[in-house]
Amino acid sequence: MNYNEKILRILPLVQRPARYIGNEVNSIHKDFNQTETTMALAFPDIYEIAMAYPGFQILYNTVNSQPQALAARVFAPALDMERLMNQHQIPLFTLENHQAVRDYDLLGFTLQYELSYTSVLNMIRLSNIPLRAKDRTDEDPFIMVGGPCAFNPEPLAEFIDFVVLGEAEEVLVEIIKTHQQWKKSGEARESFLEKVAKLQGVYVPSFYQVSYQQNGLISEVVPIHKSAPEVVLKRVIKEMDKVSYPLKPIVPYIEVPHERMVLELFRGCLRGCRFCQAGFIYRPVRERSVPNLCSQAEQIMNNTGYDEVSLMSLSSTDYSAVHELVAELNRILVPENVSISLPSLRIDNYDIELAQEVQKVRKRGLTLAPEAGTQRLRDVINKQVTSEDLYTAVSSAIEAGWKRVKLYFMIGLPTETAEDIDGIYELALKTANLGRHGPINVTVSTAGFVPKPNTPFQWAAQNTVQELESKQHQLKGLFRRHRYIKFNYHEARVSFLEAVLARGDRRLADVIEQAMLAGARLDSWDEHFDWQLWQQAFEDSGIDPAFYASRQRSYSEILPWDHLSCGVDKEYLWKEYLNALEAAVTVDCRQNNCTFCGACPNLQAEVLLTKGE
Amino acid sequence: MRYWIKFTKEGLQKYISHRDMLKVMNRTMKRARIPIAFSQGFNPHALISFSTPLELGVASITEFMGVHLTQELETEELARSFQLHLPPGFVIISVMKVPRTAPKLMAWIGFGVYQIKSDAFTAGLLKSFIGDISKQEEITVLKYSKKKLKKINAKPLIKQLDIVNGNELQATLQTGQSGNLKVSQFIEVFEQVSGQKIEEWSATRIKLLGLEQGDLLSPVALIHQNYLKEGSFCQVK
Repeated sequence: MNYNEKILRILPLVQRPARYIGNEVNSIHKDFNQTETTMALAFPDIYEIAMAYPGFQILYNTVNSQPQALAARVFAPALDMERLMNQHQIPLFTLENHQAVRDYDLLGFTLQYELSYTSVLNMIRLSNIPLRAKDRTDEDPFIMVGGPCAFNPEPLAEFIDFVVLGEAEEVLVEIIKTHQQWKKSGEARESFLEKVAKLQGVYVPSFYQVSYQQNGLISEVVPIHKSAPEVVLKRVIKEMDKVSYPLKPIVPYIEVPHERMVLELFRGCLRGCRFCQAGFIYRPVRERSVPNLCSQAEQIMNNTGYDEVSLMSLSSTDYSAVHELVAELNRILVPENVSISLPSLRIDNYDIELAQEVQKVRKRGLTLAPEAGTQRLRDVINKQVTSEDLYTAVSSAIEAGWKRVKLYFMIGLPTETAEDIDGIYELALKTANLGRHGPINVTVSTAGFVPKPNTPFQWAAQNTVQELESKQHQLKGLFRRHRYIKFNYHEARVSFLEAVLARGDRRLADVIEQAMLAGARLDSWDEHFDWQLWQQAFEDSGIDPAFYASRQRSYSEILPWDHLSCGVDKEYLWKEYLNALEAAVTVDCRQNNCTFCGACPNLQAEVLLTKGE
Repeated sequence: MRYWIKFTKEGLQKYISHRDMLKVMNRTMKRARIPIAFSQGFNPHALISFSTPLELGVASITEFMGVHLTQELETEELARSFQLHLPPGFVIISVMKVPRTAPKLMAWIGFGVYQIKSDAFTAGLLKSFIGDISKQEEITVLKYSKKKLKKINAKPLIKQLDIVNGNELQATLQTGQSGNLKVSQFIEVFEQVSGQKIEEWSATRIKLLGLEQGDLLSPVALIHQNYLKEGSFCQVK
C-alpha cells in the first residue's frame, strides 16, 4: 500500500522532513507494480548516516540495473518520526515510492556495525513483519543481511531468512534471478531458501543447528538441510574493472557527513593489522586501473555536481599508482574547482608532496592513526609504523602549512600495560611540540578495543569496563595540563556491548529483542544509547554479557562463526595471534613472500595491482 | 557577468532548508556546466547568493538567486540549461542580466508577502483578528538568536494584512536583514491575538519586495525601472 498522502500530512511536524521525501537527484523510480522482483534496501540508521555510506549506492545501482528488478531505500526513522508514524498508523515505508516495506519481495539490511542490531529489529517491527523468521508467511518479504557484521550474523540468526557473505555485485543478481524463477514456479516459501542456499556466499541460518555444552560453549554446528554446505564461503569480485560502479550516485538534499563523490581505488588490505576486521574479511587486494578511475571521476562529477572527490579504500596511499592517479585526476578536476581528499593516510608511507598535491584546491586537517603508544604494542597489533615515522610526517606537514593534527589510538589492546598508556601521552606531547612557534594543536581520540571475529584477536578477552575507564581516567589526568591537546574517548560500555554482539551467538536473540522492545534503538548515537535497557535485557534473559566480551577463548573452542569463511584460514589467524603475543611482526605479502593466509587459494582469486610488481 | 534568477520552491522542495538549497543550486550549476565564478583565496566558493531565507515548510513562487559567471551567457540559454538539471519542485520563472551597480539582493529585499491557509480560518475570525491587532502596540514572540531565546516585538514587523479568497490571509511581513518575522512566528502572533489555536497551516511566499525611493518594488520591477537599459531580461514560458 502507498502511504504518500498520510506521510505528507505529518511532514510539517517532524525534524528535518527532507529525510523522508526521497526524490533526490539520481534517485531511481521504477513502477512498483510492473516489476518482478522488488527489494527494499535498508540501512538500520537515520538518513544522514545511511547516505554517507558509499556501499549503499553500489547495492542500489546493482539491483536497479537489472531490468526486472527494483531497489527502493528505507532507513530508520528518527524518534520523533517513529512516534508520529505510530500515531497515524503509518508502517515503515520506502523513500522512492512511499510504499509499505512489507509489500516488497526482499528486504535487505546492510550491517555495518553491531550497535545497529536493535534498529534492524525495530525496522522489521515497524514494517509489521513478524520478528522471527520462522513466523513469516507468504505475505512477508524475505529478510536478508550483508556487510561486515554478516561474517558473524549469529546474534541475528533467528530474525533473518538469509545472509550474504562478501561482495554483492554478482551474487545479488543471482539472488534476483533465483527469486524470479521461484516466483514463476509457485513453490512454497522454503523452496526459495533451498535455492539460494546453493549459491556461493549465501547462508541460511535455519538450515543449521547449533548445540551447546553444559559449560555454555558450542558443542557443534551442523547443517540440517541437504542444500546447506558445511562451510559457507564468501563472494569476491576477481577483477574490479569488470564490475560496474555507480556513475550516477544519489545526491542527498540535506547535509550528510561526507558530501562528496567517492572513488573506490581497491578492495582488501594486506597490511595485516591484527585488530582490523576489514584487513582480513576483504582479502585479497584488487585494484582498479587509473584510466578507469579517471573516467569514473569525470562522469560522476558531471552527474552529481560535487566539488570534492574522495579516494576511498582501506589504505589509499597503498594504491600502487597513487601518484599517477592523483596527477591525472588533478588534470581533470582542478579546472573545475573540484578538490581531492585522501581519507586514510598512513604514517609510514606518508608523503608530503602527495598530501599537497591532493589538497590543491582546498586544505583539510591532517589525521594520523598510530593506534598504540609504544613500539612494542604497535608490533603486537602489527601496525608497522614507528614514532619516528609519525614525527617525520608531522614535521613535514607543519612545514607545508598544516596547523593541527588529529591522532587516533586504541586502548585495551591485548598485552597492554601502564607503559603503553603513558606512551600515548608522550607521543601526543612530542607531536604537539614539533611546532616551530610553540606547540601545535593536537586532538587525541581513543577508542576502546573491541575484539572482532575473523581477526587474530578473535580469541582475546576484552578489557572490562572498569579497566577501560581507569585507562581513560589516567589519560584524562595526564592531558589536563596541556591546553593545546584535546582528549576524546568513547564510552566504555558502548565498546563492551559492541564486543558482546560482535562475538555473540544465537542465544543473544532474546536479549536484542527485549532491549529493542524496551526502547533501545539507534544505539550508536550517544544521545540514544541507554545501558540500563540492555542490562535489564541481559538479566531477564539470564545471559552474562561478560561470557561474550571478557572471556579468553582457546583455539579448540568452536566459535559461533566457524562455519562461515572469509577465505582466511583459522590456523593462520591463530598463528598471527601467537605472533602478536610475541610482538613479532608479519610483513605485507606485497613487499615480501606469501604469508599463506589462505585467501587466494580458498577464493580462487589473486592480488591484483594495477602497476605490476 | 551578473545575473538574477527568479524561481519557485514548491512541492516537496519546501522541506529543503535554505542552507541545503544553496548546495542544491551549486551542484545544479555544476551539472549544467554553467561557468560559475569562484571567489579567490584559500577555500574558493562559488559566487551564488540568495534572497532572504525561506522558512522550512513554507513554499514560494518567488525566490531570487544572484550568480556571477565567468563568461557571458544569453539569459535564455542560462534559463534553459539550468532548468534542465534542476530537481523537481524548482522552476525557473525568469532570468535577468543585471549591471554591477544593482544592489545586493539580500541587502535590498525588505518584505515578503505570504499567503496563509488553515482549516481554522474563517472570514469572521480573520476580520476580527485584523481589527484587534491594529489596536495593539506590542505583541511579544520568542525568537532564537545565536542559541539564546530572545523576546521580540512582532507588531512593527507586520506591514499589512488582507483577506483573500474568502478565508485566506495575505500577510506582508518584514523579511530581511533589518528585521524579519517568520510565518511560524506570525502564526504565534495570530494565536495570541485571536485566542484561536492553529494546529495545521500552510503558507506560500508570493512576493518579495524592496524599498526603492519610497516605493515597494519587486526585484524584477527594480531592474525594469532602473537598469534594463544596461541589462537584459527573459521570461521563461
